[in-house]
Amino acid sequence: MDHGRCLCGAVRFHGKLSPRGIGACHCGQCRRWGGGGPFMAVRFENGVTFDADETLTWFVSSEHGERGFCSRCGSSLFWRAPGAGTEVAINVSAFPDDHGQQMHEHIWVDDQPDWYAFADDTPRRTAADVMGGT
Amino acid sequence: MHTGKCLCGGVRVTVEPARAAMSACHCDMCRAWSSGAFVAFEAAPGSLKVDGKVKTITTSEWAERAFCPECGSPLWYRITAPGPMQGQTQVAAGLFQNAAGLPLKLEVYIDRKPRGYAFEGERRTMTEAEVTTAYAPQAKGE
Repeated sequence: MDHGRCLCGAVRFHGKLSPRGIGACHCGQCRRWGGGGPFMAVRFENGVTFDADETLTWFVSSEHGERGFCSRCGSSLFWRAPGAGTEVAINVSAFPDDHGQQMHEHIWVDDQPDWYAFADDTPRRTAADVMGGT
Repeated sequence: MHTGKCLCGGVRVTVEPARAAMSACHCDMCRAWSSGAFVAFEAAPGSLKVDGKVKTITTSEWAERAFCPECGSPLWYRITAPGPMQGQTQVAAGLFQNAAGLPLKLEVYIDRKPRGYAFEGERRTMTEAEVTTAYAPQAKGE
């Protein structure tokens, strides 16, 4: 089991990390929510189990998704599409041990600003690539 | 002056950067807070004007973090410990269109950054030990 938590520890959860690796979303919403760079997320294989979630707050950021954060410390924790049982994208840094996670892909790269770039050569997918299912 | 806002628009800020440079912090706390590095620029003292409801949390002996209570967007990291750096405010780059046009010049706590990813390009970096050495007197509130 892999255990994750927000910065202040009020939100705690666990699950089995997928070997998929890190997806970085460079869309404007994620960058605003993620402090400036992309939202960097991993997934669990079988969903998130919460050990403590009193301060977990969901903000509906668009018709496509909502964002879970801790109301006590403001940690940006989860992104999920609407609907029961949808997969949750989890802040990779909610895990004390980075498990040697490698980059898997970058998405919404057409929204990425010029002032930063990432050094890896994993796939870069635009919004159309992602939404069109390519 | 630059104008920025959080994801939901509940918090709006105007600020003058202290200098034309941003830093990215890879420490455990900044990464837990943001998911990746927390990228910010220092506010020119007294220049930060804030409109909207802000929540803060004290996260260490020397600093507090501010965020929007409606959408969770990180707003700033502020030194609270007594000393010459008290009040120094690092404002989140993500609040601003194109990071207010500022360049990323420094990465700190570079040794705490997970090895699985990195920003491209060469720039000044500081390890945790280098940051602590440089700022320890302020951090301890001397």
